Amino acid sequence: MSADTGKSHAEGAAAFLADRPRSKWHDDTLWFVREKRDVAMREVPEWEELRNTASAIKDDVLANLDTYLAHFEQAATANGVKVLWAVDAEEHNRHVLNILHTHRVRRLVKSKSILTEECHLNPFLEKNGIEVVDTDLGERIVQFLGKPPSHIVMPAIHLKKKEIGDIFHEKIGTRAGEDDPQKLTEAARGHLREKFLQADAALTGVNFAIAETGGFVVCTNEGNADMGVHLAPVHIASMGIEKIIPRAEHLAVFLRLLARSATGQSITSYTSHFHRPAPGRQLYVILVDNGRSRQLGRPDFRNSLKCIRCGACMNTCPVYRRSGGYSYGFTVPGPIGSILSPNLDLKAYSSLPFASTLCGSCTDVCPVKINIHEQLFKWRQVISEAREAPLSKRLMMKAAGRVFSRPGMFRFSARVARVFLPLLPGRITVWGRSRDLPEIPKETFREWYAKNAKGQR
Amino acid sequence: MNSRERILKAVRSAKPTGNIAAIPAVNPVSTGDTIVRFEASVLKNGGRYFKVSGMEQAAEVITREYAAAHQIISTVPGIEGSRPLRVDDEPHTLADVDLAIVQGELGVAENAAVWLDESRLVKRALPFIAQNLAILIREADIVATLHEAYARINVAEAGYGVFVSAPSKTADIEQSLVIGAHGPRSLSVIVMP
Repeated sequence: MSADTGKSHAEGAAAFLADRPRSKWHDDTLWFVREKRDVAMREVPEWEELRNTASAIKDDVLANLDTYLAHFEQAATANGVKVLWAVDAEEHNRHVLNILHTHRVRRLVKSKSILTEECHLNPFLEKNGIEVVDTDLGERIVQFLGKPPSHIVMPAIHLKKKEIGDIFHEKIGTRAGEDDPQKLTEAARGHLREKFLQADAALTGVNFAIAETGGFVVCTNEGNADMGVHLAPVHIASMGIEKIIPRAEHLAVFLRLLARSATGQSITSYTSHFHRPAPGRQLYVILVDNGRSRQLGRPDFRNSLKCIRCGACMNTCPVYRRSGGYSYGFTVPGPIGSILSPNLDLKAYSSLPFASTLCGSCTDVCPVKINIHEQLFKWRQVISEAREAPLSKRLMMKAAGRVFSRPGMFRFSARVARVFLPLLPGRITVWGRSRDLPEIPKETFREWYAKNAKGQR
Repeated sequence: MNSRERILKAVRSAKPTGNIAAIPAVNPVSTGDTIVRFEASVLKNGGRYFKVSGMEQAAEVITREYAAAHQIISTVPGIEGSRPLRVDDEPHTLADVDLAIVQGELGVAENAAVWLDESRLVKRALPFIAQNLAILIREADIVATLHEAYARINVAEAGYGVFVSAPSKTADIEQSLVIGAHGPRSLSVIVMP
């Protein structure tokens, strides 16, 4: 059961899979992005070296995080940046609202920030009378629909252009039936330009923050972060405490990996470095913990904090591609989200570490070498021990364990299963409901071996 | 205890202890001529590429390419705009700019990223709010990879600096690439000796 949707992953996946052609289209679209990533990766001969270095930098960050955070605060403050700390989502949201009140802000424009999704900032601000406009095109689309992003890099990847055309027709008055991406984007450009010019404050996420210099970096293709912050008099940057890197030179390592892993680009169109507020303007950075220090204290799972949010693990995941982002019911869907979410609420997200085939493709593409599939397996053990797995799954695992530990019983049940398994209607077994049964071989491996191994020694 | 202390204390007691391996250096494999690679990267990213003999020819290229532009701001000495730009101008007044012409500090061959900083931009909003952007860059200021770029620039020197590698773009609608999301609809990169 997800805290956000009240559904298990299997239930969410079933809902998405009910529309088979859409699931197939989603699968193909994400795989296309994965293939672009492969092409971009092959252009860099030292790719594996980069991954090793990136992972080592993050190891260093995790081991010295308190020192780096203090350095960052000191340097940023000296640069004229106001640094705030937030233990949890609630405190983060309160900080934002206080800043907006201080500067009498009515209209806020935002560029993409997964952290503010995690904190559920938008509904909180709207309740307090602030107009909040997400300015990333994909985010604006899902905001119009009252939904969160279904992917951290491509927020509206689950939608067809016709659906986007319909919502644009309703919200910004494009022609009924218009579904040309060029025309829809042009309409959004006009609509959002007005919002940029009216905004009293702009909020951005942070891709990397530099301990040494007290600055931070924001990456976009659309230029929406810069349009927002250079026009509005107040800039608020929200960041998880794990976004720190030691030195500016390390940006080279991460930037070479990030866009190539995310979309197959060599770098985003804009990579903006903020160190001081523009003359006469205000710059705030909010450092947010919200469970990150707890995850840091879990030796098996702390590596998940290395994540740079490229989304490559989602694009490659055979489960994510077919089940869609919303099936996870967590801000960060897919493999990485399934190892981050149990840290926040083990019970609510107990189905997510099971939403994987453990094929390991996520680990293979991860630019900072997080052992994602191993952590998924670890969480399964934690969840089973905490008895958070569904009863049927626990009983089945127990029964399977008994059978596998007794060779005689194993041989017997293999023979029985070959005869009876195909006869079982899929609805009876929990597994059968969401899985196709592979073709059952005529004989067991043992029987085959006994027949064929004669005279082979 | 305030939130700052609570977070730092939690991090201190949670962080891994013991020896952390040294961070290995990255040794980029150089592939081909830097300027040739730079040109290929600009074109791949959806930019226009021009190689000129000097400032005069650069101005000619701009006049030819942007014949329809009326409101032009140039922060490059030697290239005239249609109106001046002052530090204390409100950025909102730039909303009608058709073309901005700026000087790049450093270019990166592997990805066409060009470093622009506040000191030469005058207004941070300029390269984003303009409908079109032209960047001039000297051939000698083009390096092979981002590693060399960061070794040469001091990111903290100006209050703001940005790598621009392409016109503003999006693929958020069914992965269809559209140039001109919020910022410039075109980017011209003009390389000078």
